[in-house]
Amino acid sequence: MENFLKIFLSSFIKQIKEFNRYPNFYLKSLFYTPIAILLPFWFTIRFFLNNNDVNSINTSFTLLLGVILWNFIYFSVIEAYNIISRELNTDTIYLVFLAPISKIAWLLGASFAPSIMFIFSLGIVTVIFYLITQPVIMINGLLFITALVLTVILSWSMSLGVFILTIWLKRIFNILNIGLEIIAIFVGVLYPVSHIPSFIRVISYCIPLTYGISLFRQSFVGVNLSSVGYEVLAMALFTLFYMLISIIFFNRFERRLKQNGSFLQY
Amino acid sequence: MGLSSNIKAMLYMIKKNYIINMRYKADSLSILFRPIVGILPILIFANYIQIQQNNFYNYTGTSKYISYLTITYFFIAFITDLMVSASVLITMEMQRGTLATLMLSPVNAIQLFFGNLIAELLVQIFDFFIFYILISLIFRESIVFQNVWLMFYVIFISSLVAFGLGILLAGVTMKTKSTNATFMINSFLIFIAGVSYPITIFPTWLKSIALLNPITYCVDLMRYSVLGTFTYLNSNVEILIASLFNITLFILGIKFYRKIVRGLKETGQLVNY
Repeated sequence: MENFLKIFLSSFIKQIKEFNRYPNFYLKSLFYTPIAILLPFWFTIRFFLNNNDVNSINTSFTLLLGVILWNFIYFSVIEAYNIISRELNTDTIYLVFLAPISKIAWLLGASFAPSIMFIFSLGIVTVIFYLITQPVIMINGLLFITALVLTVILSWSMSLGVFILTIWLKRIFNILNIGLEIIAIFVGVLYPVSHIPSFIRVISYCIPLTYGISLFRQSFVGVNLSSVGYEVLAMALFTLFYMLISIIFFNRFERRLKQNGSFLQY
Repeated sequence: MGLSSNIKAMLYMIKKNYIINMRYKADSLSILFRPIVGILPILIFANYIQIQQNNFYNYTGTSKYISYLTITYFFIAFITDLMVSASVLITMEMQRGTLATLMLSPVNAIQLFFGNLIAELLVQIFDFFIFYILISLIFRESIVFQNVWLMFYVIFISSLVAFGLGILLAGVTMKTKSTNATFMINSFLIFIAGVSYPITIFPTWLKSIALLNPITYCVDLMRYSVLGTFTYLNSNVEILIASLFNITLFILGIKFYRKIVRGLKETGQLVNY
């Protein structure tokens, strides 16, 4: 366990140094989210609601919270892909995989760096949006933290899946994007899940992010943790399940790729 | 090198990219389907909000909000793809360590990028027609093309500006060694161009900035040529502004790209360090 943490930390630090070397990553994390995602969605919501009363502002703000959380997952997963692609393209990935260290610790450490960055930047962006739009909200801190922590763990399990898929298929950028966009339809990024047809909703309920977005929104309207206990439980169980699946999938494919000799770029 | 050698090199570049893309079939096929998947949440959202048709018409001049969103979305995807693909290509060549070979060869690098962009352009145009028709059929909105010639002209002048800016941003990517600046600039231009809304809903100061953006006119004219929506300015004035703006930016983009690359070669910073 001590070794696991040591590798996790050193990989995390390495990644931070990489970001420091190219500081426009920080700019991206603070600039890209509001400009590319939040403002366009804000104006879309405002345009379609076409109303300026308190209810309309509150609806816009809570809908946007879903977009913010979604954006966190999206960025974390895409950055996980960027990290592993960089290692693949520069032929340094085999150094990590041949070293007698926990690869999972190394990969989790590497993906934790952008996650932290995005939590920080999205946090700032949310506060700015709150100050500008002035919605009437009541935050439940405990529920907010619970939803956030579970979402970070979920982003890890998704990143692990992305790492091994990238090493396996070598180029998955477009597959990844289309996959994430399909998930976005199911989890209700811009609308409550109850709005989509019931036969599709079954799939939504098997995706932990559906609960994450719902809990995140509810934490801003003062809902008690006890009244959404089943949603927290469902999210925790599904997140744990997907994490286990990712680890099993990772170990199995790592072994298979080494045996096939198709580990590196070709 | 002569023009024919450059064209030959450009065709080889297209062939090389085609071969690489065919190596990753699933990934390459995803490019075709991305736009339709990407637009669905916005369409479901629009349906969830239950738009009041009168309000929508007052702002846009059409009551076909599904078509309005679809056309804008595909057109934005088209411009974005053209703008960022040169930068993405540069990053890949840089990481593979083949950029130096490419840049030191006696072939005009701009024509090589152009070869890559032609492939992107064809995919996007194909996507636009197929999915616009498909979405209109699914959501039962009649398919219209108010002014087909103007639509193709808008696609042409938009390709010019997207290519010019794309080349300029490729230069910036070589300088900064990352595509982040490209994506940031692209996202800002797209946001103020009016993604799924007209810029008339912006506050006045933002509207003024939006009118300085060439892509604003491209998007507006595209919606006008297909759906006959209201334009921000007189449509003829917009066509004139967009044409002049886009041709100028195309020339300036190539000029600045050459300046950046010359500077990088002189200081020995062309490749990754």
